[in-house]
Amino acid sequence: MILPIIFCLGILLITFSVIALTPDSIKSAAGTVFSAAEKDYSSLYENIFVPVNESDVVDTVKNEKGEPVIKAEAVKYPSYGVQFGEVIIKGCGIDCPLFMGDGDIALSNGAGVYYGSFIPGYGGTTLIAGHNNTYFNGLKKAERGQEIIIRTSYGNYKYKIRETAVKDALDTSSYDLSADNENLILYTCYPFDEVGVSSKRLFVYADLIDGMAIEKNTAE
Amino acid sequence: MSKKQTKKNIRNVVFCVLSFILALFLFVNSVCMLSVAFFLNENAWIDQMNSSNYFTDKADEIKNKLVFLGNAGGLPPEFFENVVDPIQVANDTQTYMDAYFNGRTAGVDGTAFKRKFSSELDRYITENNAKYDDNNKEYLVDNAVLIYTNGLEIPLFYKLSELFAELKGVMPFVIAGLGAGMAAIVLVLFFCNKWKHRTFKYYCYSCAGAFLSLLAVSIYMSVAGGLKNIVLESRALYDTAVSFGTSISIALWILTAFFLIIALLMYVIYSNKIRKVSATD
Repeated sequence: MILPIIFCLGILLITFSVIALTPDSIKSAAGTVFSAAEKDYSSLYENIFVPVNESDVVDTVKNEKGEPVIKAEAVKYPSYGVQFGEVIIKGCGIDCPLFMGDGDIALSNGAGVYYGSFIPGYGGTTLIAGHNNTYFNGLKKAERGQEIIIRTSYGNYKYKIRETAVKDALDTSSYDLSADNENLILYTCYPFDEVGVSSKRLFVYADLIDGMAIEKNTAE
Repeated sequence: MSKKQTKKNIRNVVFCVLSFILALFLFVNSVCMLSVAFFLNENAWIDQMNSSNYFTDKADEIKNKLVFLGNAGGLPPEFFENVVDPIQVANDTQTYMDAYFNGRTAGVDGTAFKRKFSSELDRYITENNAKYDDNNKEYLVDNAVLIYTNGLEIPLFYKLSELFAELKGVMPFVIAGLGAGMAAIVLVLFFCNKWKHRTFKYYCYSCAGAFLSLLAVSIYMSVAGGLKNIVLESRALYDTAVSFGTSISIALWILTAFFLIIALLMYVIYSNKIRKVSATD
């Protein structure tokens, strides 16, 4: 009964030959349709935020100017969709979780840092989005001089609001992601408390007034 | 080697080749029939969608996306409770798939949804005396319709549409052609063998060859977990695809079992016939 086995091998060989002759474009398209593991559809998110008190000592090193900075290894850099801190603006009644990335799950549960910007401490622009009907509804009360606190597991950062402005969502001059100074921009849809989706955004610009920088040379 | 022996050997080789071709045809025909029964059968898609609760899950999925839009558009989650109707989802999906299986590439028709969403929105605005701007309201409705129509679209369908239509037209001829080829081989094996036990031996080889080939494919499908590793953004569609994969896997095992039974049957007939021949001798 060796013949059926030879037949089977022959059939499989022909089948593989046909698959091998399939155009590469189809094969590569098929490759993108399948992955090595099952897709995770969970809407749960990871939370790495552990509040630090003012008195807590974070691992520090001296930078080239002799100032203390947070040791890069002491910072667990958040991946996309992870809650890593919270935003507090007492004057606006805002106190919400802060996520890395501004996807649906993040903005349904708090505010989100735009993935192409910096997280606090890295000496650049931190751009944070939130919905105007939920967590950032209080931004309608934002005024110059108010204090914004961002708490993370590696330290707390205080900012002072410099100005607020209503601009078009597509106006790229509204933010400078290549700024070399630590600054914070919060934004949300505008106007508030209305039904509808508009192309206007309220931007709240703030400058750092307190908070330790993160060691730069090995920082992510 | 005598001339008679050489002739016998050549005849054996020819019959072996014929039974291999028969096994190949049986295998290819099985694959073609599975394609017609599943991939090229719109009803099979709809059945799988029904059995995997696709329409309800899809309605929930769209509703959740609309809730995200509501967060930006000033609408509470409760507003969306009755906006997406699974029956409407089923109807729009059916229309969408009808078009694709007939070779057209029209998108999902969101007219009925737009009508319902707009009327619910107007009712909400009136009941809550909510402030709104006409342009922003229209933009909200357009965004909601986009979420709905995008949500019902099936990835790559627009690319597969022409292929579906072409294969649907060609496949009956392929199956009929393979059937005719198989019938011819069966008849050749039957009438060209003086001793009928040999005929059933070759039939047995063919069926066993097809059985082993299908067994290999079935085992591969089962070990790979069907379509469990397919990458789809929609959970509802993923569940349908997995259900589809499981059904195909089951159909493959049934076909495998069918060929095993036929192969065994042919072997039993062959054994009986050769016993009779031996008894006659």
